[in-house]
Amino acid sequence: MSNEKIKIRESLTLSPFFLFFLIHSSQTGIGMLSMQRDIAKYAEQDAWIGIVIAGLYLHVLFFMLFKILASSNNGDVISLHHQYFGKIFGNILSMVFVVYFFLLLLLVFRSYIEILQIWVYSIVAPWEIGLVITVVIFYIVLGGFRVIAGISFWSTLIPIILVFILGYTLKFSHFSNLQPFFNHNIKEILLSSKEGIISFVGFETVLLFFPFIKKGRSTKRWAHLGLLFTTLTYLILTVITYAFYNQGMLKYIIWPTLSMTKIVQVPFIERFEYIFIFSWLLVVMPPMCLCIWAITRSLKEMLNIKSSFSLTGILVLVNILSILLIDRDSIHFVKKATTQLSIYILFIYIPLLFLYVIVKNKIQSNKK
Amino acid sequence: MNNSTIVNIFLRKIFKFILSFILLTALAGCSRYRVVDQIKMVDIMGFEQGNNSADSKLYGGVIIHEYSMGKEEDVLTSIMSYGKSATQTLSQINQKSPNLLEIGKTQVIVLGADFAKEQGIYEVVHSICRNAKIGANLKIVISEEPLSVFFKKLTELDGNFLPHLLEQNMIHNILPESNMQTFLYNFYGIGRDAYIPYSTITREGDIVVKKLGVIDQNSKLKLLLEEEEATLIKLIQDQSKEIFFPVPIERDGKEGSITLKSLRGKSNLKSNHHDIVLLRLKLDTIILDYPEWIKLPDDYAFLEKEIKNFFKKRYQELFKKFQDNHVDPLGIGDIYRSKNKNWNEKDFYNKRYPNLKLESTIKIDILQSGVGEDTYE
Repeated sequence: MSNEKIKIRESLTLSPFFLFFLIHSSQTGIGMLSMQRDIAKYAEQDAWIGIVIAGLYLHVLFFMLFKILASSNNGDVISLHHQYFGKIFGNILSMVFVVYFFLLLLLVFRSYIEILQIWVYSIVAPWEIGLVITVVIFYIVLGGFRVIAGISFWSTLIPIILVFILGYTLKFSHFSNLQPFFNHNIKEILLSSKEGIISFVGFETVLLFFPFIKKGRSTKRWAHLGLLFTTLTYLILTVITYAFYNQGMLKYIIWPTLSMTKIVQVPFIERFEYIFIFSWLLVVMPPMCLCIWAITRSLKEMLNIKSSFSLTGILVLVNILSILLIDRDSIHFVKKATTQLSIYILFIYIPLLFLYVIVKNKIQSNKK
Repeated sequence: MNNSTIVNIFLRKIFKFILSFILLTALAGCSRYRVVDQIKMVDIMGFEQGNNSADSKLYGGVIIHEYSMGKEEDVLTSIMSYGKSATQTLSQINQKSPNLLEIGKTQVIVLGADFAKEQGIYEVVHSICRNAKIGANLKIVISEEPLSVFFKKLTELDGNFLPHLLEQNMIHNILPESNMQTFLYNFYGIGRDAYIPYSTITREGDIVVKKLGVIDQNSKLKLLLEEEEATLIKLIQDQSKEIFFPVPIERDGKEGSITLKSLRGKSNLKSNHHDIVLLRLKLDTIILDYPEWIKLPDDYAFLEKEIKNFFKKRYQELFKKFQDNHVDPLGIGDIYRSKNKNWNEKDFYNKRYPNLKLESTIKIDILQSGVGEDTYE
């Protein structure tokens, strides 16, 4: 175990300010289109409380994450695993993250294709759409981390289209749908939180890209702000959706955010939702790119595989798997598996790792 | 250094290869284009009861614009067919068309009155609203006449006649505003029933949409509201309250009628926690026509009182009608749901709803009475 820190070249690092965009855009993606319905399954009109709870918990988790990263030699999770668990066992643990990021990537990739298929290109084969998206991802990830950060910046600005849409929905909104408040027990609300947490994930890539952010006093603050912004966006979106759709109608609507844009009526665009669906590509791009980047980075650090090779390999694999996921059921299966894995990581693994790191550091400092 | 240049060249080669592959795919994609001349865009779509046999349970039709005729004016044609379900009927209709039918631009969905009364509209609505191509702004209307008669009349008229007729009546006239979104909201919503504009053809052959059909819990057309009742609903539900309203008045044995034009107003429907529904309505109005024995401006106070009593009475009667027919187009159930933690739809409509009382507070402001006055002030 070497104790010398490997420094990332100064020219490759980003100012802490970008952490805001990176965190926010790594979270928002496909989940934002359907989350409102999934969480309403348990706590119905109170499900927005679930969003708040999930957001608050993640702030605690962020605190743990940065504490963990602070005691890592290189500032990322792989070197941390090496430090505390040795080379082989550490690599096995890091491999779990690689699988996790891969599942996230596959889920976003396939879900977006599914939406395109159902809403727009019903007769085009999924692999054709996938291939086009693949080229864009390939191009962005090849550009390096700074290019991904640039895309993240834009993908934060694009959902501002939503603001205009909210204006259109207000005419048909009934905020009494949210009443009676607190009509569900804690268990139902927590189940809604659990269902909603999948829309928050993706930020775990910070475990790998953190060394690329310039260290400063405000670093953590930007990360927390990014998370807060996500939580607020989701909260507002959920409240607006529940005002627009009552719970009886919400059952029948798979992508409430997309269906909501149907109400927009502009004289020169009959169907606004098509513009919305395509501009959403920019929103789903950063989570996919960050996941791929995180995987290639991990493979390079652990097994010394050239990133260009692993990048090509992963993209081929994602395309093949997305072809194999034919119907909604199989996509749902991947979603369930990913949710389960993300819950293990967010609620069990990271808190345990945090405790382990804290205790071990204490023991070491006592020895000295 | 040398190594990385080799990698770079290799990557560039891969990239070029993939790019050319994509371009090829994109070219192949061009084989699936749909030229606007070669598709038919459906303007109006309709469904009603078919035969008794299972294969032709539904009878449906579409009205399409014939753009490719090279003529200046619109040519409309209708295609009708039988089918098992809404989607299947549409595909049967498509078989009769020389071009592919695209339903993305549909502006109105027509439902037959007998069909809505007897069979119920659940299946059609459920199948249509799940189609991503159906917009949220399209209008739904129930037709009293059989579909074939109604469509024949429509094809004689301008292509946008029906959608514009409905829209105009909703914005400036007596019909409460409704579209696919508000209809589905009321239809699927708990504690509320949907209403749909009801069109008839007059003896002179004009299409008029004045009435309102109320759909009950079993998705069947239960109640038909006349013009005046439709307006009363509009005054509660809509933002725009721009309507004409005839109000009968009586004094010292003399009877007459005034025409009221409401310009703007506010309305509010609430429940107190007991069995009383509170309706608050405030209208800014103009008096247009009035009998000669009314002297303005002296009689403003009298008229305000008369109008107030009139509205109070009418709302009472309307609410009673809803209770007797077990329908709830005003969404009273939803109001109670939002206030009570242990609300149950069945219990509410079986036990509580028939016993509710409507209490209305109505405030009428008469701003002026046109450009003429009877006396010098």
